[in-house]
Amino acid sequence: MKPSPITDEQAWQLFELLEGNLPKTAAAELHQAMQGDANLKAHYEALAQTYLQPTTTLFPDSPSLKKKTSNRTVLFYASMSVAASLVILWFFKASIATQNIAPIQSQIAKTSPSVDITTPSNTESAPLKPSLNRQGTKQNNATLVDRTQQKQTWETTSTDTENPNKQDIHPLIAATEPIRKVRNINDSLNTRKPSPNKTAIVLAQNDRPSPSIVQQKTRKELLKSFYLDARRMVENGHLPHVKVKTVNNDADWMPEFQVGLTLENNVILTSFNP
Amino acid sequence: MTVSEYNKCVDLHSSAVFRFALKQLRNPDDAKEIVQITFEKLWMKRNTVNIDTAKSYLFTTAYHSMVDIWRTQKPTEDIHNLAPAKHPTTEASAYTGLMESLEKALSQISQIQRTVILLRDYEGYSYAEIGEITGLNEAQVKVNIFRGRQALKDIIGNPNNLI
Repeated sequence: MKPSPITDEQAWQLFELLEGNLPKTAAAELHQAMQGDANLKAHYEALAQTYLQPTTTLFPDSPSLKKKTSNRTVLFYASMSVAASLVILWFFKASIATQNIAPIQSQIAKTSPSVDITTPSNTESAPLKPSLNRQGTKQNNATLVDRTQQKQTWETTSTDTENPNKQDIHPLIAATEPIRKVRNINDSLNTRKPSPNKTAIVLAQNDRPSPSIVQQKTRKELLKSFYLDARRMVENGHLPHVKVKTVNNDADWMPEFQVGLTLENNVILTSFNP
Repeated sequence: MTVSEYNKCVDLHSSAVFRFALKQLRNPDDAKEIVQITFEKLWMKRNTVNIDTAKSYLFTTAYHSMVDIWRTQKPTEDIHNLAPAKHPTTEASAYTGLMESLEKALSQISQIQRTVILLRDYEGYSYAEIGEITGLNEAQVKVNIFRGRQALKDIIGNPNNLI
């Protein structure tokens, strides 16, 4: 049997009672009123049925929502730390190399104020190009006469006759020669002093690598000195470079190898031509 | 909020948010999507939401996500001013139990009334907390709960629903 309607005030009172908002005295009075009013009690019980009971419904995809603290993060930071360490070591090494150059430059400024140690714009201008003639006895006499004339001109006209290629040597190399401890091919060329009394015939007989070079350094020693120079400079942070280029275009051409060390500003400090 | 705290929130509240969405939408797939969206937003906001306010944030986000769905489905309908739907007497015979009748009745009241009742009964939120989630003040929350329960009482009290 459907209960008869109640007033809105009674309905609100029942709602407040079920919500727990009524004071104890008002709640007791309402419970007492319901004892004598079945219709009001029926409305109270009907309203009480509207309160939901929590269910145990679970979310089935709960694991998919979770975030994993995977090892990738650890590996990423580990790899980044290793990379950072390498960069720091490289930077430290480079800064040491820079510090090693600074005293040399200051010493150059003291000993040779006129020397320009600025960076050359053209890196193709190798500081030293000793092109030794390796064709031996195949050369004809005309060539030998020309060479004799060239040497005589060199001896008479040049005020600095120790090195015919001096204009090609970088000022920094020339200035560092006095303080360089390890000998290299430049030493042999600088000490190569041709005899003024030699004739073309004598030069023709000795048309091979200069006896002075042979006496001072063998080829193996030259390579060793260059290797020592190169190793010392690499240890100081310089980057090595290898350059191969063709000297002549005729049938007797042979490539010229340049193995040297380059600073960050592309100054070639050492080169070698086998 | 750390990752572990976020995962703890998943353990504590994912089922509650799912229940809340399921009761509202009555579609498990839509409810799962709401839960996914809600927790994804929590993860995006993990630097500003701490674990103490995470539950409120989750239910607020879920509610607003459902509002977006309702607006998409019924773009011209103001969900806050929906009148309780009249009970269709033709389908009443399919539900015999009280809980089934109540579940059916829940789907027939307005969305805001259903929301406040679910938050009140299932999660035990206070009027103020429900107001924060739904954007209503406490008096509006209380009135909506009262009207919703009266509507449920009328629906359940119909003899055709209890057969």
